[in-house]
Amino acid sequence: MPGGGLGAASRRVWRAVLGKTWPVTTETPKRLGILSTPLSPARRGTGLLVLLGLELVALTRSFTTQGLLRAAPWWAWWLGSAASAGVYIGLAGVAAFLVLVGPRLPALWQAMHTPTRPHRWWLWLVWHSIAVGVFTLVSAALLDVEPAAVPPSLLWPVAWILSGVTALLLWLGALAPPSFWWHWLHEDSTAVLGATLAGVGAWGCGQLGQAFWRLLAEPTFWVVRHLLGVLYAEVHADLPQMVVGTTTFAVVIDPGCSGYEGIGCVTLLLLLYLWWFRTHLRFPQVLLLLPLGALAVWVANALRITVLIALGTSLSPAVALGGFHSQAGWIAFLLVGLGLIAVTQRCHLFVVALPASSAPAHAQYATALLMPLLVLMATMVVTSAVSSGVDWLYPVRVVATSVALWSFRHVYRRFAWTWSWPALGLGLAVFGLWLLLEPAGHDRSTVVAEGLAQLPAGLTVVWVGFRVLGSVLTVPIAEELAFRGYVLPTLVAPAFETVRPGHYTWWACLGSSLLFGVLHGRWLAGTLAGIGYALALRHRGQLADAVVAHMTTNALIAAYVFSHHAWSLWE
Amino acid sequence: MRRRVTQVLIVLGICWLGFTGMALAQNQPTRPTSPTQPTSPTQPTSPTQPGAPEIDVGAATGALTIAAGALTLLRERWRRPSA
Repeated sequence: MPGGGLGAASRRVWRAVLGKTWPVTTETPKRLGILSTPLSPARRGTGLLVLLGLELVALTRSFTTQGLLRAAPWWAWWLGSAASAGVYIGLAGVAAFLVLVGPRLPALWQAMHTPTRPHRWWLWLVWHSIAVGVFTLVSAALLDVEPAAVPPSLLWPVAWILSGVTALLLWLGALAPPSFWWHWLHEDSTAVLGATLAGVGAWGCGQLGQAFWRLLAEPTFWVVRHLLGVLYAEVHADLPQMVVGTTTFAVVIDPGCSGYEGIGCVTLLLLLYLWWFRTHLRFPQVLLLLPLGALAVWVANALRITVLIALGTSLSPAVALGGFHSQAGWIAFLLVGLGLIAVTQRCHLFVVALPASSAPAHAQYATALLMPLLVLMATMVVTSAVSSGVDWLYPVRVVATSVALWSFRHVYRRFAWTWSWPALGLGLAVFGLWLLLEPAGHDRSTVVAEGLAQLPAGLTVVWVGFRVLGSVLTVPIAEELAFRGYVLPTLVAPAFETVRPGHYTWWACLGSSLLFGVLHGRWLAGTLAGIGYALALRHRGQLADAVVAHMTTNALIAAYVFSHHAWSLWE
Repeated sequence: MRRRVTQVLIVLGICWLGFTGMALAQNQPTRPTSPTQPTSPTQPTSPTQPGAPEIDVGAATGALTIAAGALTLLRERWRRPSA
């Protein structure tokens, strides 16, 4: 449809994209009556997203607006404050937009790359590059100088804002034609407005939160003091300094441990639950969950501080301030948040209809794919909470994950458990990448090495044996079942069980690999590893190949740890 | 009714997104980290531990994976089987 504006096919795309109940499946293109997304525009879109990300990282690492807050010109403070607020609002707005349009994102992406008229994207990209160059030069003149040397003319901030906005608009023009963005703004204005309000609201609430930060610390202090009085005859309490504890171990209750963080996290989890399951829940009574969750997690936080002090007094200050301190808040978050969700699912007061007593087949299949990883993570959280430094209870993780895998063995029998040379090769390649991206000059005297040195030889052998077993066997199976078995096909179509193994889009591959990277802490190496294992799956369409590739990588890493004493690779 | 519920949830979400974001941004201890040696016998004999955040962002991976996994499994339980 060259030169004819948005045609019927495009309008069909929009109706589908904007339809609230439209499911995205592998049949999507056929149902829309359009050609399937050509590979090159999708790749181009991914490349442009990566380009924007790199530009933002480079600019934010090179320049800071902090100097403007101390500069002389009258506009400098306003510009510096507005810039940091703008970044916060922008990030919160994008996050809110992704939540609001979440299920429709693949369709939106597809509509973005459905050609309706010739799009000279490269021309937009050239102009975008020029605008970024101008923006960088103006930024250098404005931000890369001493506060006293900031130029006073009002033209500088105007040029800075204009060049930045122009660069962003030109990038959008390279991603999709202006007509697409015009219709998107027109048709999806509610989500855009909601996301903008969410961004501004998040920033505003943050400002308010700073003002009322300490209100909760004092009640927490008194609850902890009285709970400690039940356990110990002598309690040390200094309200002005907010110090509470026993005669041998005391802590300061900062605003950060007053309970606000837990309340915020549990409320966010419950809000997500209310949003995603809104058609199954009874409103307004289910909104009662929010104050209940806030109260429960605040009490749990007071208990956490009390147990922390008791651990530090009677058992081990190292454990109290190490693993327990890191994990106890999260354990409280999970117990309260997921506990309340579980209660609502069993209570007529909160749900429109109780779920069926036996889960449907696809839910049982999803449980078999995800549960081993969830058991692995749950065990990790609990064992880390009672450790300091090296996790002595690592064998418990291996045993618990093995039990989970064993209990679903009847489901895994449907996979062809064979291996292939390409899978081994990809595992080897990922091992090379993993080492290549390891931060240079890592300290070999790590927590693991120091911990093992203090252990009797027999126990060291047992611990290392379980560490190898977990790394080479249970972890690769659990992670591949979850990421390549469930997450990857789910990103292709919500009905993941209908997606043929190994048939996925670049979008799904990148998304699942990014999540895999985030889980592993080293997001770049982890993302590349995830892409490598997805390629192994694509080769024969068998999950076993991804598992074999993952096992190969981990076995080689284990060998490298022993041969080079590179214990940091196991942390 | 559903539309109103959606609006209420969005407004509540906005508020708590900001609250939580600010809470996690404030994760650094605000008290001095140098040990203080109490002298009174009724005070602690070990150095007072510096204040510690409730939520350790560095240890978030496990808990967030579990929460996301649990919601995902619940969603699968409610999803209608594909034709």
